[in-house]
Amino acid sequence: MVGADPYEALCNGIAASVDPSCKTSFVGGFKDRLIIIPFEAIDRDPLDVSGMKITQIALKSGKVAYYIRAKKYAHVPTSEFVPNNKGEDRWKHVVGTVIQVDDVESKTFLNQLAGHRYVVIAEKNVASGNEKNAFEVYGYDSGMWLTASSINSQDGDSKGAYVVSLESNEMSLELFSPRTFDVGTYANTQTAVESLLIPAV
Amino acid sequence: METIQSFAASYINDPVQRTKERNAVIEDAAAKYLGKLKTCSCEDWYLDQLLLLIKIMDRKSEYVLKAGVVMDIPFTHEGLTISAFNITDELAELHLATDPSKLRNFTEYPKNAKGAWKVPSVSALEAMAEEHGVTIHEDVMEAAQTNAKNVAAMQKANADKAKKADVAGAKPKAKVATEVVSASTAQATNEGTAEGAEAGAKGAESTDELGNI
Repeated sequence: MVGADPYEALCNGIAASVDPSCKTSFVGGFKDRLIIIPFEAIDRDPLDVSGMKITQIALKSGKVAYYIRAKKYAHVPTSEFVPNNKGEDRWKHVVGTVIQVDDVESKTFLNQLAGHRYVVIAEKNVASGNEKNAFEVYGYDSGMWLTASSINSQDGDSKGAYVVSLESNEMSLELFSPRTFDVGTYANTQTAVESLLIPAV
Repeated sequence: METIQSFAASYINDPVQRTKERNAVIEDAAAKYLGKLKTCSCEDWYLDQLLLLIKIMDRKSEYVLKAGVVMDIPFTHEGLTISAFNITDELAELHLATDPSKLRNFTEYPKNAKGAWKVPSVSALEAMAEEHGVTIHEDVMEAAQTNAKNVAAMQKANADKAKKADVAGAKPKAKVATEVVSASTAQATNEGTAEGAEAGAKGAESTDELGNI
């Protein structure tokens, strides 16, 4: 679709300074719910991305997102810079989590995760007044795959819960670090996230 | 969906009514309308899907937003957000009237609607503002009032033409032959004078009525 190039502003060198404040200090940790979106379900439009901000994530007709809820900071979304001496640098996104529900539905969910790629939205803890920057999007450009999963009832920490990891594929790493999902206000972004979980019918 | 509507209440209230046949209907509808397949052996799955299907049947708008879409209506002072949770035809059409490019955010809309969105009438805007507790921006209200004025002006002009046509038709032929009859009057005479008479009768009514486009 002809429109603004969402990446151009990020590829031409720095253009502004960095000045910390209490309001924009990092707090650490993520909230209980990860939103898992099948990569192919997203109805992409260049107008939905502006630099490091995603202003809209719309799903195709009949498609829906899902979530994993887990307690006690079980979600560990991370990203790392991957330099490339012979080409363009990239970023690797990784989302580790634990499926803490012991039932058939969770086993089904775990096995269905394999072999498909996903975009993940995670809400991090932020300083009061900085809620607009709470939602982070992982794997938006290339998706993430289930790369590791372990089930060990002998492990004192997990006690058999499903420890999983979704990661960028080495062959198609992300162009940038995780973007911020911001529809305009924190309340609107919360509404947008909730509406991802309801199919449009 | 009509089948589901016919047994939904009894299915929910009485476990005995949850027959295999009804479960099969729910399973088909869930696949078709929700994109969900039954992958577990849980009995509650049918009830969960039925509740979602009921939500769809209770939908209040012919416009369906894509999942994840939230649109901020810029023409209120307080701010009003459209989402899957509160969308109505009026809100959708008002947004599309001011920004037709937002059609991309809808997965469904009335078949004859595309390109025909207009700013709603003054009364519709006032009702919308009262329902959502917001104040419509002055520019939008002015556009609605201008629409209403234009419609009123047109109907008044038609009524005047019709009156002139009546007057011309009532005079003796000799006098008619000597009067100058304008092209528009002649046209008004030929067109349904009943419509003109009706418009004239309604001409004195409120702007709101005339504003309904």
